[in-house]
Amino acid sequence: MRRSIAAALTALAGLVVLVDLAIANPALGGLAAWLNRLLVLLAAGAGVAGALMLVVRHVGRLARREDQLGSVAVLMGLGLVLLPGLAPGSTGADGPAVRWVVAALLAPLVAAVLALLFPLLLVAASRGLRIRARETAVMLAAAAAVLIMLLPIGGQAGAWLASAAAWVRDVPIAAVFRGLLIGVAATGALTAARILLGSDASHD
Amino acid sequence: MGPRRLEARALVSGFFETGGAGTVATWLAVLVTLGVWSYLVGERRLLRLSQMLLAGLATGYLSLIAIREVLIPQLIQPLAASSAHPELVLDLLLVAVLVAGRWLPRRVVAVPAAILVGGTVGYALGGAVTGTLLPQLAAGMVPRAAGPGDALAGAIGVAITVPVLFSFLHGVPRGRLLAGVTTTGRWLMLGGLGAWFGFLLLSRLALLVDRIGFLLGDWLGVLR
Amino acid sequence: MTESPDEGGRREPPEPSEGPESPVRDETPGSADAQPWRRRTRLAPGVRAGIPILALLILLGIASLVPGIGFAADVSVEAAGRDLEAAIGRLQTGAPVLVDIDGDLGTYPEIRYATRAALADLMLRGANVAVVSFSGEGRAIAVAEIARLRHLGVGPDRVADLGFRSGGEPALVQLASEGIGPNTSGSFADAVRKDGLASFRLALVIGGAEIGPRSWVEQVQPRVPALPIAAITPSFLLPEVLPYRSSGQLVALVGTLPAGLAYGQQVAARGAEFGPGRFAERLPSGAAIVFGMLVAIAVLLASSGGSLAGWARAAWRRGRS
Repeated sequence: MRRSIAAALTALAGLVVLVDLAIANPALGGLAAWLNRLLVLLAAGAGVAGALMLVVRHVGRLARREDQLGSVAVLMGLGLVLLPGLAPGSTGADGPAVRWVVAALLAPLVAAVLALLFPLLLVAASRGLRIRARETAVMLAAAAAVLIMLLPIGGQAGAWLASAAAWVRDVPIAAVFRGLLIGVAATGALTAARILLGSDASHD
Repeated sequence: MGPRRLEARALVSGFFETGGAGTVATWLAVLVTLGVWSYLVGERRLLRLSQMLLAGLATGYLSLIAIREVLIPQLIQPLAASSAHPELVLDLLLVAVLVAGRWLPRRVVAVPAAILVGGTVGYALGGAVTGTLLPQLAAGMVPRAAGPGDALAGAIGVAITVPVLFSFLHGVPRGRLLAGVTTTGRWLMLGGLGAWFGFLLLSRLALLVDRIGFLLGDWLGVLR
Repeated sequence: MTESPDEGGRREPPEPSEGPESPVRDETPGSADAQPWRRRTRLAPGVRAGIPILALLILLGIASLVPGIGFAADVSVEAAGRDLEAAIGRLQTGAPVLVDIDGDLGTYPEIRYATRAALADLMLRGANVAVVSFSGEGRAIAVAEIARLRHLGVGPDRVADLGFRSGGEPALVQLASEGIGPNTSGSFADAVRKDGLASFRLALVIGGAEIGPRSWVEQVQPRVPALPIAAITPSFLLPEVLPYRSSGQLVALVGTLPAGLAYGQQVAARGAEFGPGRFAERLPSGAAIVFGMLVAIAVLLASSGGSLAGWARAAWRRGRS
């Protein structure tokens, strides 16, 4: 019963969106506009729910004396943004205090973690050869070819390489990704249809 | 980092403020960068702490902008200003159920979750068909340019796109020709993904060089 | 992070009490301690695995100090920049432009120069800009960029902040069908509020996060077909977005660091009011990037070369027999 109600609501919401896209009808348009606003609000609510769950989880861990330092770091991070951002008189994300926290901590942390991906991706790529050698080798050779073609080499050779790079990017790479886009869109449409028809109730 | 350098940077980078606050921000940014990179010399606790701090900051920032820039102006303020929005009461109820979902029965939380999934999937499906599937099929069949070189490029493009599309077929009975086309498509797809990997490496390299530039320039003042 | 330099069953690095210099003893036969050359290293496996990466960082740092190496602007990257210049150049003075800043903090440094050049270009042409974001990191970048423009003296009548919209694609649809909404104030916002998104002459999408040029093409273009969409994306998104440029769904696409640099130089050459020195900040070090690319090419070729050569040899032998 629970599943059937959830599945029916999923299908209904999806159908309202799809029919509104296909047919111009004022009554349906009003319903679709309300649904659209509700989805935006629900997504915002989901963000708040995520923060709330994080607080509950880490306060619980602190009370149970599990990984206290880590939990303090999480709660400190939440507090550093939420307290100045929600304080009375604050302008929120564009206030100087929140901008300072973003500049001093959030942006450098994200950048420092993701910057390590360059060497780590190279390490991971060479290790991938142990799993599926032939396929990985083709992928790595293609990656090397792309990087070679992007190298800034001057003179006649550089000009030739640059035009070759432009052709490779605009014709074969674009064609492969056009195929991927169409294939992914078709597969995604089928999966979406399955969700809307209730044969895949992952949200349940 | 002297005050004059900070003054100059404040003009070009909205991330940093002038004066003492900017200096502290720069030093904190340096400390967290080095803390994360200390992983390379075997120090994992600093990386773990940094990741926990990052999780808190990122979640906090997302919920802050969700509250300040979406929920308050689109839900709370209109409700507080006027009682002429009965539909907003229902919105508020559903959002409250989602936020308090941890403490409510699953069948209650399933209602807003189902609406969220159904609506989002509906938009994704409609967009994929009208924005990608049909225009890209059309573009694949009818190349836009008209010159002889363009026609050749268009033919090569179709010759690549079609096998890649065939490689999406699974479990369909195939003849020898179709199997060959599918295999070719799979190898072409692998080559395309390899090319994507090359572009990904370039993106990450640019970030790494930028971080090194930050340490050498903004912190140590070695780079101009 | 899913990858680690000491994955694959290697030992965890020691606790700090042991210190990075303390020997890690392994008494099993055939272990590192059984080999004299390993015994002399006195470094934990995690540290040993990190040393090449650390050396790479140091070498990249040294390369950053080398001047005079940059990306030559070839024909194709210049063309990408010219497309965006032309799209912005077609705007009349006072034309409203919607800028979606949805880069992510992990790739924004690659497109920061191009993004700032585009904003400078828009200011130079007299366009009025409304900035919106659909992701958290995009909003953080947008706040910083708006603050930077305010520092440069740009008022809310030229750059309006539409803020953050949650929900991804539903939020894009809301923007497309209902316009900027009632919450932004100012004369510019009032002027574009009435006619919705149709009053904008160009949408410039700064990609990187989950909402990017593809989402705009899928959700906004079918609803507002008259709105041209241009995009600036980091390299890793380029292959995904290229088909939309070649199908004409995007009017311009700047999608690699060289293309971004070339575009920035084109804008700077026209003597933009907000450039070159003011938007340019510090350019990414060409020498360090070229050095990093060479290292990556060497690693990729060394990794795949042997396997591919063996495969080709086997195929040749099969063909002969």
